[in-house]
Amino acid sequence: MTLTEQLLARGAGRAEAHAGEIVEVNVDRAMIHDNNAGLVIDHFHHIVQPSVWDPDKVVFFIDHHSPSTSVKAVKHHDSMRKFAREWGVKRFYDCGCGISHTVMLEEGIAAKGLIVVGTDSHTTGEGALGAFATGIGATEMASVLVTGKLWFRVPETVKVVVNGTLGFGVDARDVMNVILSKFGPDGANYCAVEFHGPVCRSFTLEERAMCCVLAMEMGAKNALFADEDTPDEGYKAVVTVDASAIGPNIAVPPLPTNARPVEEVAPQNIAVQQAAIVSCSGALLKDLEIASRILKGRKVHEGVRLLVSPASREIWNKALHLGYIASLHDAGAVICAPTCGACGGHDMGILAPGETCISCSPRNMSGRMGAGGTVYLGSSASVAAAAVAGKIVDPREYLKGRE
Amino acid sequence: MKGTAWKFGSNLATDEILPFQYMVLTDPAELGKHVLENVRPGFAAQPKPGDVIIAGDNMGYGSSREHAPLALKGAGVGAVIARSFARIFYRNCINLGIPVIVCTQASDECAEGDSLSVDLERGVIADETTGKQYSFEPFPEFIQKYISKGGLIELLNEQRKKH
Repeated sequence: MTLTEQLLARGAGRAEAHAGEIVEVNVDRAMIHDNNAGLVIDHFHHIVQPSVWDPDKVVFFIDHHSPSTSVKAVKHHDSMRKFAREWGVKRFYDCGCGISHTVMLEEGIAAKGLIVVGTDSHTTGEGALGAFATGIGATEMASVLVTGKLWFRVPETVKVVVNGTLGFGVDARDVMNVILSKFGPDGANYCAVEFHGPVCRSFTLEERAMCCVLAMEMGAKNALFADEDTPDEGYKAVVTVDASAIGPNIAVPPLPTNARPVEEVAPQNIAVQQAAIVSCSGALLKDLEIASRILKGRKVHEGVRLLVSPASREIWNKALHLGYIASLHDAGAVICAPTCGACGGHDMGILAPGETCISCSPRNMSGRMGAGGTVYLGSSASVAAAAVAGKIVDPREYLKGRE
Repeated sequence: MKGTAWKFGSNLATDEILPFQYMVLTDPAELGKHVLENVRPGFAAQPKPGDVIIAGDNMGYGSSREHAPLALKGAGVGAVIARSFARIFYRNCINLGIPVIVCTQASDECAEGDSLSVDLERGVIADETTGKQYSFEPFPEFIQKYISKGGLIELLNEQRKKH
């Protein structure tokens, strides 16, 4: 069995589970955030005699409109807080705690072996410690809240093997951008993704979280890192990537799977009005470290707004004590609260029509950060370098002497 | 089920179906007023109840927001036909009782404005404008129940009332 088949078999209380079978699993963690909680709570109240099956397995996050961004948003927050009090949900991560996917890993809530569902497509990120983790809709979540169960079709698994070594100025994000582009926006649709090979095994938890989050952008149902090599049998496909051949790259709009080498993008002199070091895939501690290394003693280019929104309170705190926040602030960055924020245009960082942003967040589809705005995606180094240059550039030029 | 076809392309993202600023809404009719507004301004007011969206590959790509299919439902859309669907969008539609039909030929050949009739049990799309018929794999029985009852909550409630 693949890793995902093993996890779903365990979740279903069976000895085995195989791709194509429909299994009903017991949910171990049900994560609900404020962008979808309104619908979930509405649906919950439409269920006959509703009651929460196990409040200890429910996790609430206020991370999309955090702190509240409108009267309507704060009313949803209010109903979440009341719901949590009424049903005894103690895991309640209020404004400022950070992004669900990041915090669920930091706190070990999405531990190895668990079945994790969340009302967010990037719940695939919670697979980084070895859970089966996937995104679901509001109706299903309401049903999970009452029954504690959910059906899944056991997915086929694609195996991604990354060999070689990362060159100077090349980030795990650059590798993941290339993987996404090999598959395309639906190349792993309905599939589990397993990351293998020496490069993936060397990835830190933060880098693994970024890869698992972004696996969603090629359609993955869930994503996992393998501890050991496996034979190639039993997979739907095996895709091998040579990291040594990868340089910094940029996913050009309107798809996150459109990676182009920076050597091809930089000569186009693409000016940016906003640079965003934000999100569960791009504002982890290592991203703030890289950005501060590039920005220390430099200034954000005139006409550019650099947004920095550390992914969690813990990351914010560490970045403060390590001096990253001071370097970024002194360079002219706007330091924001830990929130999903600019990534989905939910609160700060909305683009005007005709504006261009470079971001290390997961998505660049049309209108993602504001109708008529354009989004390019790259590593935190690419974003920080663009903030200094005022346009998309090769980040290696800005990392020289700052290794 | 009968309705007029409205055609869209591939990789239509849920961000495009229902833009972020309306995610604070929960009422289907209110959501429906903003459906696809940046992709095709003015579209929201046009569908008649039972009309059909025809999309290309990977329909409903991206965000898990159930607001997107709910907005389509609120605008009167009765079914979605595509070459393929993104998985969360597909499940969300079924859970809301919206038929989602995978049919490459109909996606390619049916034109905007064609009158379509869809027979979910037999798995047939009839394009009454061109006279062509297209077949698709009907839903397995356990999924068909979601569609015929109007969604997951209705099905769940029927089971809970029995006990």
